[in-house]
Amino acid sequence: MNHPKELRYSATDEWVRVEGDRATIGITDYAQHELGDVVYLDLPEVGRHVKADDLFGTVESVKAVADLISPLTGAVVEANEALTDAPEEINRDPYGGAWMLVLKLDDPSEVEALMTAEQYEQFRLQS
Amino acid sequence: MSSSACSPEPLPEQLAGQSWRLIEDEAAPGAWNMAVDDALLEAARRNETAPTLRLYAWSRPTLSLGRHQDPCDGIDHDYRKTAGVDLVRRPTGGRAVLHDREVTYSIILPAALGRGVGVGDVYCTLSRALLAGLEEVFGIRCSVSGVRTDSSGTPDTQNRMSMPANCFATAAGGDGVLPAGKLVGSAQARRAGAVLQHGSVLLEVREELWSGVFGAAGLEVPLAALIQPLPAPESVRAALRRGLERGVGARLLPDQLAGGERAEAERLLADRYGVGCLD
Repeated sequence: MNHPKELRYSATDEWVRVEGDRATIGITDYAQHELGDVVYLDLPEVGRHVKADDLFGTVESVKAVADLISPLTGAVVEANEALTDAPEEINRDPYGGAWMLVLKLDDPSEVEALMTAEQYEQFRLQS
Repeated sequence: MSSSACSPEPLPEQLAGQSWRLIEDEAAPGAWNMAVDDALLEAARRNETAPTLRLYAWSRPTLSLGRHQDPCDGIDHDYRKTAGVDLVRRPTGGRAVLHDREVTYSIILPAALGRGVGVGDVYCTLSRALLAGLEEVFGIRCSVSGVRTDSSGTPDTQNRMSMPANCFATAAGGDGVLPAGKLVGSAQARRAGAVLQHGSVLLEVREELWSGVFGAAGLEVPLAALIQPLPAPESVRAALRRGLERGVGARLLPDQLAGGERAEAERLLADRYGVGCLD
């Protein structure tokens, strides 16, 4: 399964790409595969503040709905509205076009607590 | 109606010999029923509960909508209100279920057990066990309807959005189906690995009520159409318990909501499921 090396990962299967004090967030290839065909996505509005471990949205496949858990704390500065209109992109391109939101981080050092790609692969193998 | 063999991998081993909580509730309003299940899912997210089987009923006929279902699409609310059918939204996905004469279950798996197990594998494991219980006790042989877990194809969002409002009008993953139609409807929610699976076993179908709410009959096949005399709800509950005990080795221990779970359910009742949120 594909887990890009330059990203960080949460135990709840979100990925994070950090650039300065901004973090782009989506769900992993593993998560989309586990859910199956995604048919609905609900994202927070720009301006909302989310804390690490807070629910920030939901993603629904044909027969299950899954809550999305923020891996970091910050303010939502962008949400991928195009993705809510074409949620099937989550299955096609989870690390590219299916980014979900961008946070302006309260504390960029929070990222250090997230897993590297190698650690995430090990975590997935063990769970 | 299609069915497929299901081959769950890690879940049966993880569940084997586990002690489960068995919560048997009396009939209650739909909003309270959903608030309790949501509170149990939250406890499961924090790994603060054992696997749980909750069996419950509805104090009034109630239409439950899937988590993101459009309440205005395919449902006659004027008829529903006139017929005295309440409305609530489930924490689980899927389409609307008319809870009238049925046995309802919820199964909650803590994150430590559910994490890493796909939606399809959970359905296959749990639904197959429950349906085996119905077969053993009543001789009714249902199959688990297919679950697509391979997302290599292009999902057809437009088709899904135009699916019938009635959960029992189609068979999707994890449902209990017979050649004649659908006996058991099911749906799931996942929260950081924790699982909530809902299911309804139809006892009887009042056709006028179903057709009035949804505009047309679906594929509903209740127990009353399959065996006579119709079993009592307690017999159906016993069959579901039996299925889990034999199918996944569950040791069911009678229990009730913990104080913290009840407080969380009361908070959710007020904030998310209260009467008037949808009507």
